[in-house]
Amino acid sequence: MTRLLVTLDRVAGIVLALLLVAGGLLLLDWRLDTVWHLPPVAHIGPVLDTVKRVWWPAVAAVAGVLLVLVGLRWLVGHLPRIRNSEARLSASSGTGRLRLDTPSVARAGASALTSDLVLPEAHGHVREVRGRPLVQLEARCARETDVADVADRAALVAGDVARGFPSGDLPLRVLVDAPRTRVRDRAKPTRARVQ
Amino acid sequence: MSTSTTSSGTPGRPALPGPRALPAAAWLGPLVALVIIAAGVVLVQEALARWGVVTTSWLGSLLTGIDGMRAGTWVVPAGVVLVLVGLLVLLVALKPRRRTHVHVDGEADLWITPTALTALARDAAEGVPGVARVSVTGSRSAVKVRAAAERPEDVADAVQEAVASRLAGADVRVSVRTTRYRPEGAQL
Repeated sequence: MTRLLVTLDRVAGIVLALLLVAGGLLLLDWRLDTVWHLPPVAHIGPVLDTVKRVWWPAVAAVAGVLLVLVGLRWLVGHLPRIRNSEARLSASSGTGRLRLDTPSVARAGASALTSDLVLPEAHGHVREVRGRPLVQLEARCARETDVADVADRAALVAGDVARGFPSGDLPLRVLVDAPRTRVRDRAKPTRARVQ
Repeated sequence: MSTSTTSSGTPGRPALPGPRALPAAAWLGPLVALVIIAAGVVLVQEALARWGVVTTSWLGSLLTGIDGMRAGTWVVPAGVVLVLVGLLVLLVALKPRRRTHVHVDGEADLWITPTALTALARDAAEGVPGVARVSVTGSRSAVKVRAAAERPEDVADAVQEAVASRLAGADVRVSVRTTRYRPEGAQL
């Protein structure tokens, strides 16, 4: 999700919340008659008159179609994006453009990161963060490894990528998750060997 | 120990933000979008009804139902529910995105989950001779290890050292507590 979409979602949520609270307070005051002294019987005559005007159907149709289009666009924004798999390198110039197939870098990075003793599982993909590509490698660590070993392994791959793209066009991030849970771990409480 | 929120960037480029979970407000957007679409459909249906394409106007029926309505006893619980739901939605909308990983010092932009740190700490503590039972809890700021041994005073330093060395480099506090191990069914 882009930051703009997250901000829109938050603003929409705040507006929705304020409308709900305002509607609730209005209903309460209607019954309790403490602040606004609303009439006990609802009269919406002016609204009924408006929807009988000649221009109303045309305005309702245009507004309705616009609302449907806006809503659909908003929904589509939440779907996973089909990203451009290529990144333009800063070494491009007037004489030619250098474009990089970023998923192949992610695959190669994941392959280089994988190690039976430290990070037995790894895969890579390309994300867009603040408008630029980020190669993100996601791995699971081995149960017996050290954080220092993981850091060494990640530094090795980061060094390779940095040497390949010294201008910093392609930042690399490594995320490490827990080892897969073994069935026997879930079945009984942890018991260590006693010597 | 401090917890980093951004990664070190390439010189001349801003640092990237640390990994975070999807915001709780992420479902509010689609919900509001669906409400907007529903409102649009009602308006289009209203126009079609006024033009005589369809017979019944949904909006007209709704407005006619509201006109002349009295403030019955149902209004108070409905108002309370609306206010509570509104406050809940407000909390969700304002809730910040949760950080999911702990930063690891080093040359790479490396982040590790608290669950992974917990698993590594558990394995380290279990490997200390004399430790009979281990329980570990972890968060983004601390990993707490509880190790039970028949002679806890003998294993305390070894467990502390094993766990600290296993997690060295991760921006978390490590605390180890050892207790006396009492086998199940033993007399207390």
